[in-house]
Amino acid sequence: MTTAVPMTPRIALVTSDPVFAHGVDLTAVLIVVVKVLLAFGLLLVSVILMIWFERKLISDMQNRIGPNRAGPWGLLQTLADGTKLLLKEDLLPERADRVVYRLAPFLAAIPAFLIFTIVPIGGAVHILGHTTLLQVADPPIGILFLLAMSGVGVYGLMLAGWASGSKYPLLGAVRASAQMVSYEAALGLSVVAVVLVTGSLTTSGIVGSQAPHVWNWNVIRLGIVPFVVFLIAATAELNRPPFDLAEGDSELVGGFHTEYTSWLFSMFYLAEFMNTISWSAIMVTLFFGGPDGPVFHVPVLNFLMPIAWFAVKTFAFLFLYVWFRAALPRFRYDQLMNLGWRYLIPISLGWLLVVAGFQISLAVGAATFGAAVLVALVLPRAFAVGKARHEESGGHDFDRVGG
Amino acid sequence: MAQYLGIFVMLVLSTLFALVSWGMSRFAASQRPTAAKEAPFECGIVPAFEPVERFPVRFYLVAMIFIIFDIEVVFLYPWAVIFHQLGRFGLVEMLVFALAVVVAFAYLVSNGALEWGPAKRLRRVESPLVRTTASTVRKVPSSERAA
Amino acid sequence: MTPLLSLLVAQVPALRLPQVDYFALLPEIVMAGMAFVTLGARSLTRRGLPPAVWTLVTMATGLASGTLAVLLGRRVETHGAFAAVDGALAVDGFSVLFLVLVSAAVVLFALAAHPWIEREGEDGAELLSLGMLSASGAMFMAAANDLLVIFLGLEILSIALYVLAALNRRRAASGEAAIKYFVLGAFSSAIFLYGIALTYGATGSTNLARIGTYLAANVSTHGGLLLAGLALLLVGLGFKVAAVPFHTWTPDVYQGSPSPVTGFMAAVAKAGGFAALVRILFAAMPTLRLDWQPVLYALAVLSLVVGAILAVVQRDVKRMLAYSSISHAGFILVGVVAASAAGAASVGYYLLTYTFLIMGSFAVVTVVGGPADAHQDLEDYRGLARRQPLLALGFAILLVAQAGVPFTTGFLAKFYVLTAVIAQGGYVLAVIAMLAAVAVAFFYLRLVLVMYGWAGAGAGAGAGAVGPVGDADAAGAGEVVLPAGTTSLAGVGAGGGGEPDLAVLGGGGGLALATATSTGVEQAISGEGLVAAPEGLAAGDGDPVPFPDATKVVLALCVAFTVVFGIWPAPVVDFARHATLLFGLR
Repeated sequence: MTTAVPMTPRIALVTSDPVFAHGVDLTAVLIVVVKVLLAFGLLLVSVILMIWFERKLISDMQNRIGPNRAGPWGLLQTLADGTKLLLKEDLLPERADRVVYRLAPFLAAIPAFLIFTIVPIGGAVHILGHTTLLQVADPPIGILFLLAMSGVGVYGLMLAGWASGSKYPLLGAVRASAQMVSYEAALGLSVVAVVLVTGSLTTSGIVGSQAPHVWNWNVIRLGIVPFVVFLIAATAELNRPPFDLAEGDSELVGGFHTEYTSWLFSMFYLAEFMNTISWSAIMVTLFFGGPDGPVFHVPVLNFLMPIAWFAVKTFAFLFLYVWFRAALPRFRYDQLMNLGWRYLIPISLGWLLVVAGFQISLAVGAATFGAAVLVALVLPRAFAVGKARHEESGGHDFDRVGG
Repeated sequence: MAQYLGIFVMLVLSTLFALVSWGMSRFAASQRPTAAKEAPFECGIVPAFEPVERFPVRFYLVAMIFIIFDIEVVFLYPWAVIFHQLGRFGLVEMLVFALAVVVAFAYLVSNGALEWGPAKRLRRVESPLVRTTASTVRKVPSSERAA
Repeated sequence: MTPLLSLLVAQVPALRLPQVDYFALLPEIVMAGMAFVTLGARSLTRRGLPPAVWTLVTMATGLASGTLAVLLGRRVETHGAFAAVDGALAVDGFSVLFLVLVSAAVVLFALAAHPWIEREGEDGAELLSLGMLSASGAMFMAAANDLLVIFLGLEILSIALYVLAALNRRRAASGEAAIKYFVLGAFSSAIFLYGIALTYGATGSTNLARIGTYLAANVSTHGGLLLAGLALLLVGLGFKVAAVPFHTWTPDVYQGSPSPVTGFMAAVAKAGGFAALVRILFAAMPTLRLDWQPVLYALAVLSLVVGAILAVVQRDVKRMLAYSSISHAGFILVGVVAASAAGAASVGYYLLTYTFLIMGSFAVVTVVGGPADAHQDLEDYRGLARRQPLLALGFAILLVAQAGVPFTTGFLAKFYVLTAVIAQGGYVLAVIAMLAAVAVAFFYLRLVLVMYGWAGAGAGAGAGAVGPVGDADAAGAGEVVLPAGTTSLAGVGAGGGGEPDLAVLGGGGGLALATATSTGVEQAISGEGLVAAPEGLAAGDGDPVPFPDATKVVLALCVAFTVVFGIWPAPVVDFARHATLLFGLR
C-alpha cells in the first residue's frame, strides 16, 4: 500500500502546504486561487446533488417516489427550487431588527464555505513546478479553525432567531444555542484525542499520521469511542435529525428561520447542507484516514485514487445522515441535554485521558483506565443526588441552583 | 501567514457570492410588502402576545457549565499537541486538572443543575374511587342506543 | 524519506519541563485538595453530613497546612530561602508567615462559621470548601514569585470570595454584596492584569526576581510603560486590600455578606493583597521606590483619615468594622511606605494579629446577628454584657485591641508600624496615623460602652422608657452624662448623624497627645451614645443571644492570642522579623 502523504505517527508534525515552500510567488497564488475556485464549485455542485440525493433517498425509504420532474430522475429539482426562491419576495418582518436579521444568513453561510477549505481531499500533486496539497488551505491551527468556524456558525442561527422579533424563531434560537453549546464541549474533547496521538493541529498532519495502514486510522487506533462521540456531537452541531430541535417543524413551525423568505432563507438551507458535507469530510479526515486507502498504479491518473477514496468515504457518511433522518425520531429537549452532558462529555473526557495513559505505557494506561472506571462508578451517584434534590425542591419553588 | 491565503480567498469569494446572489434576488423578485406579510408568523392569526423576553434560568446555567468544559478543552489542545514531550508529568497534571473539573461537574449535577422541567412527583391519588374501565366507562344499555 | 516529507516534517524544539518541588507546594495542595474533597463528598451525599463534620475537616485542613508551612519554615531556616517550580514560587520566611496566617484564618473561619451554618440550616460544605479554596488562592499570592502566579492566586481568592459573599440566600443584601464585589473585583483584576502586561512589556519578564535584577541593572528605556504598569498593579491590589480611594465596595460588601465570611474576607483578602503588594514592591521594584513611595503615602493617609471619619458615623456594626478595616489597611500601608525590612516585618505582624482580631470580632457579630444576620445595628448590642457576659467581654477585649490599647497585640501592631516609618523619617505620617487611631478608637469604645449598658442606661432614663436596666454602676454612669445627652437630643433630633461626627473629631483632636483610652474620650463617647439611643428604645434589652461552643472556642483563641502575645510579644514578633530577615531586603 502506498499513500498520499506518507508519514509515521509519533513525529512532531509541523506540516504546511508546500506550495509556498519557495516563498509566495505569482504561480503559487494562482494555484491557490484555482484551488479555491475548484473547491467552491465542488461544494456548490455537491450541495445541489446532496439535496436531491437526500430527498430521493428518503422517498425510497418511505416508499414514495420523490422529485422526478425536473431533469433526468429529478436531478435538477434543486436548481428549480433555488430559482424559485431567488424570485421570491424578500420580506422584513415588522418587529425584526433590520441589520441583524439580514446579517444572520451570511453569518451562517460564509463559515460553512470556510470550513471546507481545510479538508484534504487528496494527496499531493505537482503542478507548474510546485508541489501542493489537494486542500485549499493548511493552516497550522487547522482543527482550531474548524471549531472556530462552527462556533461562528452558531451565531447565524442565534441572531436569526433573535432578530426575527417573533416567538417561534426566538424559541428555536435559544434551543439551538443551548444545544450547540452542550455538544461543542463533547465535540472538542473527542477531537483532542485525535490531536493527542497526532501531535499536530493541521489536517494534513492528522491525515498523514493515519497512513499507511487501515489499523492506523484513528477510528481504530483511538478505540471507537471518540469517533462515536464525534459523530453524535457533529450531528447535533449540524442541527440535523434526530437533533433538529432548533427547527423542530412540528413544534416551532420552522424554528429559527420561520420568518425568513426568499434568498435569505435559501442561504440557511445552503449552509445546512454545506455543513453536512463538510462535517462528513471532516469525520473522514479525523477518523478514517482522509484520502488514505489502497492505491493501484494507474499511469497519469494516479492522483485520482486518493480523491476517489475520500469521495467514497464521505459519501458513506452522507448516506448515514440521510438514513438518520429517515429512521430516527427527534429527541425531546431533556433527552438531548442528558445525552450531551451526562454521557458524551464525561465519557469523552475519560476516554481521552485513558488514551493519553496508553500513549505513555501499558501500565500507566491501565492505571488511568482504573481511575476513569472509578470516577464512572461514582458519578452516577451525583446524578442520583441531583435528581433527588431537584424533586425535593419541586423543581420550581426555592431552587438551590436556579434561584 | 501564507497558509491562510486560501482561507482568505475563500472568504472573499463566498462573501461575494452571498452578496451578489442576494442582490440578484432583490433585483429580480418583486417587492410588494403588505401589513399581513410583514406580521410575525402566528399560523395565520394576529399575534396576541409579544415574544417572551425572559427565559428559564436553566438556559443560562447551561451556558455557565459550558464555560467550565470549554476552558477545560481550551487547555487540553495545547497540552495534546505537546503531550509526547510532556510524558508522564503532563498526564498527571492533566489528570489533576480533569479531576478538579469533574468534581465541579459533580457538584453542579448534584445540585440539580441538569434537571429539566418540573419535578415528577408521584402522588397517591386521594380519591377513594378505584378507577377501572368498569367504573369510568359507562355501559349504555341497549334500550338507550340510537337505532 | 521523500523531499516532500522533509519539507513537511520539522522537529519542534525540545521542551524544558519544570522541576516541581511538591514539598514546597504542599500547604497549598492540602488546602485546595481538601476543598475539592469536601465539595466532592457533598455532591455524593444525599442529605449531607452533619455540619460538624465539615467544620472539623476544615479545621484539620487548616491545622495540617499550617503545620506543613511551619515545617517548610524549618527547611527555610536550615537551608535558606529558595525558589520552587522554576522560579514561580518563592519559599522564604515571608511566604511561610502568610501561609501560617492564612491557615490560622481557615481554622478560625471554620469555627466562626459553624454557628452560622447551623442557624441558617446550611450543610456547610459549600461555605467551607469555598473558604478553603479562597485560602489556597491567598496562599498562592503570598508565595508567588511571579506576577502571573500572583494573578492566579488573586483570582482563586477573589472568585471564591464573590460566591461566599452571596451565600446568604435569604438576604437580598447578600446577593447585592456579591454582585458589587464581583463587578468591581472583576474590574480590578482586569486592571491588575493589564498592569502585569505593561510591566512585562517594560522589563521583559513576569518573574519578580528577574524584574528586580533587570531594573537594578538597566536604565529602563520604557519608563512611562513601567510606571503605568506599576500604577495599574497598585490600583488592582489597592482594591483588594480596600485602600482609599479603591474602598467603595467595602462597606456594602462587608454588610451584606454572611458575617463569618466578612471576617474571613477581611483577614484573608487583606493578607493576600498585602503579601503580593510587599513582594512586588520590595522584591521586584525596590529601585522604583521614589516613584511608588509617595503614591502609597497618599493611599495610606487617605485610608487612615477616610476610614476613621466614616467609621465613627456608622450605626451598623458591620459597616463600622468595614470602615475600621479600611483604616487598618491605611495603617498597614504605613508599614509598606516605610520600605524597609522593619516595615515588611511590621506589615506581616500587623496582618497576623489583625487576622485574630477581626475573625474573633466577626464570630461575635455572627451570633449577635441572629437569623439571616438581621441584627447588626448598634442598638442590638445594647446590654450584651448582661445577656452574654463572656461574649461581651471577649468582644470588648478584641475591640479595644483593635483600638490599640496597650498590652494587646493591636497596640504592638500599630507600634511596630509607626516605629518602622519613624525610623525612615516619616514623622508626619506617623502623627496622622496616630490621630486616625484615636478617632477610630472612639467607635470601638462606643460599642464597648453600649454593650456594657453605660451609655444606654443614661439614654433610657432620659427618655423615660426604663427597661429592666442593670446594675447601680451603670445607672450612675448614666446620670453623670445625662445633661449632655439631652442637649444633644434636642439639638440633633432622632437619627441625626452630623453632629456626633464633629463632636468626635473635636474630642479626638484634643486628646491626640493622650493615650487612646483616656477617660476624657470615654466621657465624650458616653455623651455620644445618647444620640444613638432613641432609635433603639423600642428594642429594649434585645433578644437573648446564644453563645455556641464553637464561638466560645474561636473567641477564646482570638482573645488568648491577642492578650498573651500582647503581654509577651517576643514569639510572634520574632516570627515576623525572622520572616523578613530571610526575605533578603537590606
